[in-house]
Amino acid sequence: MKPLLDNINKAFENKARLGIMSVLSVNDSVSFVRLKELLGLSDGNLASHIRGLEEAEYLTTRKQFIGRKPHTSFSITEKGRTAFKEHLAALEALIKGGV
Amino acid sequence: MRKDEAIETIDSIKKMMESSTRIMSLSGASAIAVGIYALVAVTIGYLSAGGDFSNDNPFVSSLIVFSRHKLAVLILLAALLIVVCIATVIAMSARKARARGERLRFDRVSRRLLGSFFMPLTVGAALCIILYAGGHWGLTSSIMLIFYGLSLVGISHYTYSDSRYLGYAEIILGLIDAAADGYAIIFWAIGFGVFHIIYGIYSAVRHR
Repeated sequence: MKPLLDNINKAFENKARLGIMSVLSVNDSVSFVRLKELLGLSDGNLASHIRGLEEAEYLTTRKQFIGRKPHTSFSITEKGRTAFKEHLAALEALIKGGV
Repeated sequence: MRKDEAIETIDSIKKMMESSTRIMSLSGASAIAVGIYALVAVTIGYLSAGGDFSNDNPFVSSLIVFSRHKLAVLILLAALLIVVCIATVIAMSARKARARGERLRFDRVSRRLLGSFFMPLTVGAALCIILYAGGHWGLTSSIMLIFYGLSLVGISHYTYSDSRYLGYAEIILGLIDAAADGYAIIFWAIGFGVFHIIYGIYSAVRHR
């Protein structure tokens, strides 16, 4: 069972990070404000988790101005999608295998 | 990580995917109210257009509205029905959202839901008006049913996916209506009245 557990990604151990990846995996791009609402996190908390995922190259940030307001949105990268899928597969294997 | 933790994690992932792409607080049970309003409205419309239940065969010929006055009454009735239905769905959905600890928001998902709902409806309404203006009103009820059905199939991506079954049922009924001679008011009452009530009850039980 050891190899299975290897696929459980450390970057996703945190609930907030897993939540961010879940949302990004089914949406083309999601704004900072919307992520905050969906996950119920504070600005600082969300920002730090996003930074972590960005450093792992699991998501990309896009900053633009809508009128005069800055608008930040995020999208999942291919690398992030693959990692997230592997993590899900590992969780499912764990459930089936009953470790 | 233990098995129960993994199950819990998968559940929370699914919930997060769902709530970021679908409006789960849209009230399916409000379809019951919509169906009842439709049946009341169709009865009032039938009587005001000169229909008579005591005829031997009251629904055989399509009702033809010759007078402008009667047409105005029907249009007013239809507009009132639409407003009351939309208000009821919004009010009941807002209540459901509160019960779930959420709020109805005008966000990207709800904008998409409204867009995919009103796009086919607007096209269908335009088609009805164009045909009516040309004197071809025989297909009005079937066009309403078919395009409304397409709207329901369209919104099923943004809310409970089972709304598409109601959509398929409306489309099939609309096609049968188009093939049938007369009885338009009966098809309309089944599609907008009875089908809504059945779906509403199903939805209320399933998604409680």
